[in-house]
Amino acid sequence: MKIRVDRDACIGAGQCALVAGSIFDQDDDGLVVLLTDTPSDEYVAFARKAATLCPAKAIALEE
Amino acid sequence: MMSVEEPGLLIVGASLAGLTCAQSLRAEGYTKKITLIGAEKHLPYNRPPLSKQVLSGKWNAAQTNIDSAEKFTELELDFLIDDEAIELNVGLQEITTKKHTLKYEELIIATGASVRRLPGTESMNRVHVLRTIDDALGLREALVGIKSAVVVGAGVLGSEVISALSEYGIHATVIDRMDAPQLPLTGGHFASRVNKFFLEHGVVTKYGVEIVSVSEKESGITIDLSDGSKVSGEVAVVAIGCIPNVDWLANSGLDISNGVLCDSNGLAAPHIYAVGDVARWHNPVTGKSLRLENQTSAIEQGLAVGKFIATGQSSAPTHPFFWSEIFGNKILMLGSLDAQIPLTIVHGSPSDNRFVAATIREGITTGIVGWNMPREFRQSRSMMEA
Repeated sequence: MKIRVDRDACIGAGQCALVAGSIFDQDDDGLVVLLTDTPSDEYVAFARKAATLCPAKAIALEE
Repeated sequence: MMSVEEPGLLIVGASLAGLTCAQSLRAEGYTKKITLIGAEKHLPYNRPPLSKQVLSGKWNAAQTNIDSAEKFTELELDFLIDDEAIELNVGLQEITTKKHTLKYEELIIATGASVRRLPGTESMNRVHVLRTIDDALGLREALVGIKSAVVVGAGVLGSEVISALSEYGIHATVIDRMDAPQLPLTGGHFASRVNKFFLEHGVVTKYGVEIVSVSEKESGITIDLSDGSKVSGEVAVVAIGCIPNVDWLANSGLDISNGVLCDSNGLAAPHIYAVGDVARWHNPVTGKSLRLENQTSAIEQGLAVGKFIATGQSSAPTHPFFWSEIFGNKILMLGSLDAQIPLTIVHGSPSDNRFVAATIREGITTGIVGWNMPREFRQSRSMMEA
């Protein structure tokens, strides 16, 4: 899986960092920071959860 | 697996809530047929950017799409676009649309809500509303080259519109029957703060007034108010809320007073669920049944119903959430602030216009707001889990 984030769309809700803190963080403006764009298999489900819950739909997953 | 005769599951409304429900059903292992019916001639899109990035001209329409067409293929949906449900027959387990009669085993009502208009202004070209992508693009075009506008409604949408007008250098007048701006879920705690931004940006405010009449001339719109004054602008933008789309359910026997009444699993009647802006879910924690017109509730309700149908498992109740950007201020709101309780400042300082604040009733945090402090807001969200 490959993850892409759209920082123009990000609104800093922090849902991604809450459910998948090993993949996503926030910068000082609250905008998403990708810690890895290729999560290992055991974290793929967390990445999916983060993408679904993102209120700004700023996370795209390529399977 | 999928037989032609098997009616499967029917989702009425190609909204975020409806689409999320379909995704959740597939993720939770639902293998039967899923049919999605959408009234708009667009793929499902996100509404929050319409009054933000789209209105301000930063985004084009395609940037609001929720998922690409390929994703729909992956979900194995039968997607019927530009069709609309007209009637539900609960006894026969079927719905009638403009084009079809469709049977269902499980029905998801996700028909959303329609914008509320000012009576008598429906055919006025210079009176705009903002609910759909077409509304947003039409308004953006109408703002080109104008100098003045009237905004009816000082809620969050009206405030975002005023903010965009200010960016375009358009002089705004705002009218509201309430005596201050209203942000949802905030218990009125930030009314004077938002009003201050209005005044600092030269917005003329008319609060506590009713509209007596609206007239359209070639040059613009004039509105007569109950205090005897008149306001005018080259265009008017009406932002006075939405009405749940339940007309097609009038003969269904469902409780549709202010939305489709559902239990805490989203169940309105056996085999019938409702999600998103059209739904009024019971919250077992607060004991209230409310329509939650926000993006996150639409997502969470879609997820919960998909899981419940596929696995029989309930999801924990969640907190409403909205965000806004008004005059450059990034506002994040989780739960709801209690109007009767003073704010507890968790981080930062209101005088610096950067803070995280909460209201705490008998040791329980009812809501938490992040004001230009998104990172600290996220770190403080755990206060709501107690």
